[in-house]
Amino acid sequence: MIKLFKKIFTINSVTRRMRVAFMSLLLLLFFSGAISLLELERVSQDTEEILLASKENVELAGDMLTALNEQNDVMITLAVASGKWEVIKSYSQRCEESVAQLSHSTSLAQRKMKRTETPMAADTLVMSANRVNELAVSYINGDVHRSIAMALADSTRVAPTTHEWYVNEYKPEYEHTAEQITKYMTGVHNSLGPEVNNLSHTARRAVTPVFISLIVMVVIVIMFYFFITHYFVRPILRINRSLGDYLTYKMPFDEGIGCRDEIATLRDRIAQLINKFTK
Amino acid sequence: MRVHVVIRYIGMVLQFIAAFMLLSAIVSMLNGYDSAYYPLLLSSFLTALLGLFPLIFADKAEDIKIKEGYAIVVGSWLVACVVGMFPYLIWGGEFTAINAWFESVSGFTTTGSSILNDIEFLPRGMLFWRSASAWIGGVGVVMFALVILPSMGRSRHMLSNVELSTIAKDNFHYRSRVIIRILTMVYVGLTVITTLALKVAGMTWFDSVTQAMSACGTCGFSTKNLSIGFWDSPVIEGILMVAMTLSAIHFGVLYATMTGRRNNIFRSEVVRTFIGMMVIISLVISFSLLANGTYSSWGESLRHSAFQVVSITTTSGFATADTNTWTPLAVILLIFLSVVCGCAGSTSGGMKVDRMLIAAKIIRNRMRVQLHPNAVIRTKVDGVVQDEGVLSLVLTFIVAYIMVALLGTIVYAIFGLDLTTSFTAAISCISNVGPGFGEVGSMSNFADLPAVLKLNSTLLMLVGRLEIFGFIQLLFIRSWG
Repeated sequence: MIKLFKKIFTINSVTRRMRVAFMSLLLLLFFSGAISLLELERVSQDTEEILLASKENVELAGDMLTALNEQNDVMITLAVASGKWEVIKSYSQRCEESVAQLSHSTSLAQRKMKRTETPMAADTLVMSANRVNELAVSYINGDVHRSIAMALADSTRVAPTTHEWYVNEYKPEYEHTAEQITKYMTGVHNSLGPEVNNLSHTARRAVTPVFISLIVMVVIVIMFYFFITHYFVRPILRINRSLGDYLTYKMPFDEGIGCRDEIATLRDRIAQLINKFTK
Repeated sequence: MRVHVVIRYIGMVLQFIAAFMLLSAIVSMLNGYDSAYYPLLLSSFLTALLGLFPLIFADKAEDIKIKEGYAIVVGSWLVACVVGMFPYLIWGGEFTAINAWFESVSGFTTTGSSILNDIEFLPRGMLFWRSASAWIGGVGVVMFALVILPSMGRSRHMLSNVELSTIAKDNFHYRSRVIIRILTMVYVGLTVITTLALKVAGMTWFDSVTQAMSACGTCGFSTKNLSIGFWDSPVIEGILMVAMTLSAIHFGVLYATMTGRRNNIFRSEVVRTFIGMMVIISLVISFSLLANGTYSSWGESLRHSAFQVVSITTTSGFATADTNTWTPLAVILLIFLSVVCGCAGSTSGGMKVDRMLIAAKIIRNRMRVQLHPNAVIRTKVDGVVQDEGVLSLVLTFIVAYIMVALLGTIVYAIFGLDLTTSFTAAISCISNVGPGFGEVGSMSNFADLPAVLKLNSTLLMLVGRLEIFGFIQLLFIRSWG
């Protein structure tokens, strides 16, 4: 059994040595490539996750801002430009849609932020959005107009205009909500910090094995060069020189050139040939 | 020098290291494929390939010359330290390139210093690899490679001569083939027995194996941030003290004791000096600590002082107490022990008790000659007359050790470290002890040192492990012919 094992793993010809050496190099090359691919895949996956998360957050913030601005446009048109009840009806659907959109987006943002380190900021954002929505709904429902009408009827009170209502009541809430959405955007960006750090760690881990594999390959190639020179090139050059010396100056062929495998056979055969001619 | 022969045997050592990396990967696998699995497996594959490649071309050599022996030993150690970095580097974490090099050199030279701030954060596979590197380094990378290679014939002897310190070689009265058998039996046997004893004392299997490997390699790598202080168990400390002491005694003497021969540990003058020195210094330190009020009871004081004395003298570097807070007398004595260390022919480093004993006898004989100018006085150790060549080598080594230590201290001081830290860090590294004092004390580490000083530390570790001259020879490799 041991003999069989030895026989299988004994390399005693130039061809076999070269074949095994090239196979080793190929294996390492393939291995380095496979590691690169695997590690780059991992980095790519992490990067994709971060970009996706970032994209989703930006889109969500964009939705919230669009809804808020839509609502603000409606409010400006109704309360500042027109203020008439008849006009309100035509804009009510647009306003309701923006309220629903803002409400939906903020609740989504709240769910996302609950998973991060800023759950308190999520609550503030939702409260702010709810407040601005309530104001818009109350205007659409006619509550603001009714309140103004009651104030007009009461001689003791100063009745505000819808324009004043917008400036004093709605606009501060609108600005506060917009500010909260901006905060949400920066907050979410900051919450990606650990993931970005992880990505940097993963990137380092991706580069290191490939780098080490390459160093190992360089060392193996240097060893390969050394062994080829030592065991094959130098003996052939010495045989060639010795044969040249024999042919030119009739100096005896050096039969003691240190070599092995087929090169040793070549040396011995040349020596035999020379002996044959000498006789 | 036949470079192809040197490369072939270094390749064999690499295969041995690759096998241990694979073993560590298996530990990682058993631990639920922890994060060390992939780095260890990958490192094992790369190291094995690197080691196997020379075997395709280079045939075995029947006769290894002394210069080739030196090159194989020094080369193996350096290459082992380089490939030992692979798992750390690939794993990442606290391991930058410099840190990985430091940890690898510290393991293979059995120094036991670390750059890790949180050891317990490492996955089990990586902790096992740390201890395994210490264990391999303990008795010498080359000796292990020789054990697993049955076909080296006469070439064994030359490698053994280089690996074992000069005095250890003189003390060995066995043939080289027997030396390898002795090393295997004593080292493996001691590790197995220590593992079992630690398990019985209450450690888990994993901790038992890793602490035993570290103790028998006199390295001091622990799996806990508090080192052995984590277990706070007198029984565990006692077991480790015995293991460390035995590992720091000449393996040939241990073998002789086990096999009932005459030159056993009870008759050995060197061993008597070694153990006597530890006992006396332990007692002095414990009195000093008790008088100073560092510990409230005599028992506690003796327990901690004895453990630290054994740990430092054997160059293990395990800790149960912060020696930085101890009295100046205790600190000075521990520094003295860091210089003297264990016996030649063991896994410990440092100047060695044998050399100190011979140096002391040379001084005594010199005094006698002053009194009796015509007297012919010979220097004997264990009843064996030491020839002038050995005496000269001993003195040369001591001078070289002091010079290297001072040079190392200067380098540390250049970068702004205080005198205590600089001197003890240099001594600790060159003696392969592990902890020093000051910023590199028993409860701190080398993490905060600048990269240049980490490199300086690793250089000192390698110089110390290769008994200074083994390393210096490498500088003159071009003139070897």
